Amino acid sequence: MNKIMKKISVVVAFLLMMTPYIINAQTDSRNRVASTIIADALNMLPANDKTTEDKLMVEILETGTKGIVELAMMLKPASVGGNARIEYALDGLCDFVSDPANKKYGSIMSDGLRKAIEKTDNDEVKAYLISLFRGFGNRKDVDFLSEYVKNENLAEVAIKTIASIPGSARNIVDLAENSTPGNRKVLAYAIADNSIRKTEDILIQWLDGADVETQEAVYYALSVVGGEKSLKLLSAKAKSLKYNYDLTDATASYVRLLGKYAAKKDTAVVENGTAKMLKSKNTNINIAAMNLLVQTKGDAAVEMLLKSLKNKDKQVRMAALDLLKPYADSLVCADVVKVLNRKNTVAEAVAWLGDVKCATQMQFLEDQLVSKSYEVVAAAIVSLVNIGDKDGMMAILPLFGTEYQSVIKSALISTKNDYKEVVYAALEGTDQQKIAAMNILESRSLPPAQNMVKRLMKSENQQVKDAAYKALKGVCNVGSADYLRELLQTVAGKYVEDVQAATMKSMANATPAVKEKYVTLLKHVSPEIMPRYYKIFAYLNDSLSITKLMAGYKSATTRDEALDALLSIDNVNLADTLYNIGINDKANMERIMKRYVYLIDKSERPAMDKLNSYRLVLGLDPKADVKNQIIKYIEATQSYQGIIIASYYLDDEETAQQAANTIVNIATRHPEFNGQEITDLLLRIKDILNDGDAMYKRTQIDEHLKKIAKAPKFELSDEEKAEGFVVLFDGTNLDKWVGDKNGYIIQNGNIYVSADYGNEGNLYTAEEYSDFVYRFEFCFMRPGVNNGVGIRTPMHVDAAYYGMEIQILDHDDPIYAGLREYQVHGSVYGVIPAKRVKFPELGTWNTEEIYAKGDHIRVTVNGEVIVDGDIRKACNGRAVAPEGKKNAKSGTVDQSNHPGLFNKSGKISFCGHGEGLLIRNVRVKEL
Amino acid sequence: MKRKEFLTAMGGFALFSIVPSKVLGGQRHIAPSDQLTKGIIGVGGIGRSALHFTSDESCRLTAICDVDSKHLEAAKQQAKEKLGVNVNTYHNYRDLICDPNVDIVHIATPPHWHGIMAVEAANAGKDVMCEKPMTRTIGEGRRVMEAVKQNGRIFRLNTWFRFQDTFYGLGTTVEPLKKLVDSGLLGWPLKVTISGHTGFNWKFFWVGKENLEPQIVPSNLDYDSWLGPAPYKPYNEHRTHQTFRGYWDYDGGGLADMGQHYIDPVQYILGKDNTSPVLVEVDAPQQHPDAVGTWRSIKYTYDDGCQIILEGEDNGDPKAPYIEGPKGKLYKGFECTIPNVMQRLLDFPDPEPQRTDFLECVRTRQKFALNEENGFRSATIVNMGVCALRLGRNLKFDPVRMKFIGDDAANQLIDQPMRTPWKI
Repeated sequence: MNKIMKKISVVVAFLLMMTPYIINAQTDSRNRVASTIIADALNMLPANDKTTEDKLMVEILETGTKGIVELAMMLKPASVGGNARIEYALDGLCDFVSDPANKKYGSIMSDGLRKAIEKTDNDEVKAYLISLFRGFGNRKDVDFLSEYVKNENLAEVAIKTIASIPGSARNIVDLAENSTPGNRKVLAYAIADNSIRKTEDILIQWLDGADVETQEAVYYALSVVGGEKSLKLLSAKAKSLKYNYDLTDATASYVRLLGKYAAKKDTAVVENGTAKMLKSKNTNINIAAMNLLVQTKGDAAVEMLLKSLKNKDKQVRMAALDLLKPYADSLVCADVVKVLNRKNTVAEAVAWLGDVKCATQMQFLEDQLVSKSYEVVAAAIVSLVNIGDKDGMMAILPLFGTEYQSVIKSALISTKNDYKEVVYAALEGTDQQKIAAMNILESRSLPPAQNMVKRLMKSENQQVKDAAYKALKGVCNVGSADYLRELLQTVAGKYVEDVQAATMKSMANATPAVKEKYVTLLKHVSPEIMPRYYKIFAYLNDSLSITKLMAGYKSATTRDEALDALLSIDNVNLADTLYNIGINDKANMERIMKRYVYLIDKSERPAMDKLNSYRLVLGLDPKADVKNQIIKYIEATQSYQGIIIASYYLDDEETAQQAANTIVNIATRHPEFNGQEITDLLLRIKDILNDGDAMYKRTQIDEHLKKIAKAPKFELSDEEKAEGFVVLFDGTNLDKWVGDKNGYIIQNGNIYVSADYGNEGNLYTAEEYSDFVYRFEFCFMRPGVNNGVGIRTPMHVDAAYYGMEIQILDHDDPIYAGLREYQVHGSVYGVIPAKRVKFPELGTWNTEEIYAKGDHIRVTVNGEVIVDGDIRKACNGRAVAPEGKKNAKSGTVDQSNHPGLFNKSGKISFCGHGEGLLIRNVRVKEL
Repeated sequence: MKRKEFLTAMGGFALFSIVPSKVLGGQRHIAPSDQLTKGIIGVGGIGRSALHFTSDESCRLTAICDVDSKHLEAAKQQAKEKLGVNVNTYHNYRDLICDPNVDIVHIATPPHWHGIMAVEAANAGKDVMCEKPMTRTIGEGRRVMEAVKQNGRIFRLNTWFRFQDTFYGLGTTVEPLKKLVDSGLLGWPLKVTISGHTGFNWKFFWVGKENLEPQIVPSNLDYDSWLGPAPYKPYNEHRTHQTFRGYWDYDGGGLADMGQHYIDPVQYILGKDNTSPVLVEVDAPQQHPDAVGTWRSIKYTYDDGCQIILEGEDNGDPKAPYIEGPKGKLYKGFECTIPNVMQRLLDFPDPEPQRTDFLECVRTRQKFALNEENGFRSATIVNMGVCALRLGRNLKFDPVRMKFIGDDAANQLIDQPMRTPWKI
């Protein structure tokens, strides 16, 4: 136990000082006793929001000191554990009372904790409770805690806690004066953390015979609170260590203490202290010394830094150069050059001059351009460009097109300085310089060079000519459109791409009028040449251009080129056009459809429309990469139907990983998809996943399954069980149903009827029923919901006529103003009108029972019978119009034929007519 | 800590003759004597991954350290069999830092150790490669930055999306994004949304468990040293190794783990490498004091109105762009509402080149592209979010003083108490 206790330290707490005030309360307004209030609060923590959390804190605090003690006494020793909720509450209470606004509760907390510490006999619990005083305790608490310093197990936590309470410096000094060797390490850190003065002498005494950890702590404390004595002591110690890093960390403490003097600008102390450091063999100590001197002396340290540049260690030189940057006036620059202008160090000076943008060493830098060292020349180029002096830039001209071309290019395309002149000069220079300059224009435009480049396009030197065409895009602007249009028609084949690129660049900001003009003025172009313009049309992406491309596609000679262009257009409105041509173009179908789904994904269409498009293309059985792409797009629909479609692709090895990822990425974001089907899928996917993130995804699946496992499952009441009801839907699966399982999906234990999607929109029982009692609950999620319960119906027909349909309808929605009485909710559709139900507000659950025995139909909604009639009597036995008679009508109230009205038995169904209905707790009893 | 044993083992001879590496002459050819060397602290997960557990002619692996003897043994074998090197093995990280055969210390421990180890390595004259998040608190980050500067060290924070690779689901590298933002075509201020919808995954399954039962510490693990500066809590295996990210004492869940990957490039893109947001707003359930939970959104605002929005789980707007400005929006895959954006960008300068070869930086003593300064800034954004989450409230921040404004409790989280005898 002792060993564990020594390690007990302090949980991070973040508390403030506050003043005590006492309140007494035995029961609250709800007449709960303290223990109940605490138990309730523990159950609700952590709260979902700050307001609730604060309310719970007040409730606990109002139980008074007694309540706090009761709460604290629930703690078990840390080595036993299981304290999380109690610790959470106690931490939260301390945080709460530390807020000045809640000052009045402070003393309850403080008194309660003190009593609890006295009451418990377990040191681990005591340690935790002591730690809670961090920062919010007061002087009274400090006196109380001081007693626990004597306890070997609690000394560390008590000292640290005391030290964290403002105004406790005196107590720490008292404890230090009466310390035992075992306490000193902690006390030394407490002294350091709180910068407690007048402790230097005590600390120094402790060093005698101290273990290494205590020495480290003492040196550290001395570096924070020490003065001259510490300086002497640490200086000697660091020197004896040769300024090496060791377990006492004394060198670092010495440097830290010198840093204090540096901050005070105490030149004498710092100069004295750093003199030996500068001579140390340890580079980092040399550098630390330079830092301290610069901090102390500012520009007076420049001489020292210049001297350090002579150091043969590059680390020291580079650190000195860095420290010199703020002082880089012309004199310093000259000195830097003077010192470093030697074979091995000149590159350092060159780079540094560029960093500080020194404009007074131009000749030196220019001279370096002819150095034999690649490194020096490269550094000089970069520095000259960085400095941006006109003549300096011009000096790099001779190096255009040499082995330094990549350095020049990188510097010029990223500089913010004016670089034009040297490029112009190069364009007028040797062929090699011309080519190099145009190579730069390819990456950064310079329109004023247009005429020069146009001239070079006529060069007899083939390389110059090629480079000029490539540079064309860098010099053309919107005014070049006419020129480029004509050029594209006449230019040699090898330059077509260059002219196309230039045209696109010139049209990047073009107005619709300019674009239209470009296309309209295009005349007398032969079919062989026309495809050159397709890329431009695609780029212009206006209706005129697209019309031209469609025309090109229709002609066999230009089809391929036109199609390439069409498929490169970034225009979601083109999607359906592409589908229509793709479905009839066997040879190109795959790539057209690939583009089609790409545009569908980018479009703003509703998720269900997108899914329909994806299904259409998947139905064409494209190659695996297209399938995978589509399955990836499906993720963005974030829909249940998306999961189902993706699940069809889990069996194929080529698509399994993508399908698995899509399903995980939808399912885990929708805890409301909590049916058995989803659980089964996710479990299956755990075995399938094998990509890089699979391990994480499996964890994610497990966490998610835990979350959705809590979904409610419907069970029959004892009464219904006894009567012989059978559950058709318990919230987890649709096993007892057939039909449109894409349109009827499970969410949060309910069947959710989604949009008219795929299939036919009806869900049928697997079994058939003739006489029965059918019970379920339903809920309208949006206005105007329309559905219905089909009974005694075959599949795939309209139940209202080929069976019966008991209407489900939010008939109060204004869109149903013209509704007939036999169409309102509960009606045997077209046959027996129902009493009009007044529905509660949207989102409320309603109960319904349908009783069907022979011709007797009874419908009860929310306990009220709204239909109770005989179907045969309702139509006078005439479900269909007699044959042979003109204008004959059936006997039903809607006068339509109901050939299935007298069916003996059939399926029970839900007849889908769009989104927005929830159904739950479906059960049936056969009569 | 078995520091006493350590001291005894090292005996009385000149402990740490830290010889300046001979390689710092700036030569491009690597002679055997010019080879750099590295030691890895923490060879459990990332430290032993193929990405980092390497040894080649430019940088040889010479030492490894772990407080789990199983990890250490496995790594030693791996070094021998796969890399063909015999490495020194250490239990105490200070031994590795003192090893004169180590030029670069690679810190691959859980984050609660990063600050202490980086500072000590810098004080011992070593260069440092540190895994993300840089540090667990803002205060520790500042100390690392100071120690690196004071000792003239080269520091690399190990995430790389500001200069390499397409990052996560974004489908583009950062360079064109930076160029687009710098061009001003999107306007200003900008809003960056980091969510599942823009291609990022916060790995919310890295949450902690409440009510952990104490367990027996396995004999191969020195749990006390594993905890180090973190508060003592009874051992449960879920606290350590692969799952430690779920506990505030060591890390901060998916936010802390992925945050610097995602946010660091944004700091670069927005040109905010030398500043920080002035406000962090959180929308999250109150967090448990020990176990990290999930959150809905975290929003950062800079003084010029630029914003970074982190959307948790599926809370964000599925149509949200990655970057949105008053004049245009940019989606993943560099899809932009500005027509013909690639052609238009030809009129603008490229971003300045970055120094992306760490070993070259070590040799030439120049700052690496992602270093102690900008790394500290992006780690600070992560840690601002962590503070606001843990406190359950919005916080104002002073990016110069690097303190929260008017919230003492938040400022207490900037420097958190360490267990004796740990300090930074």
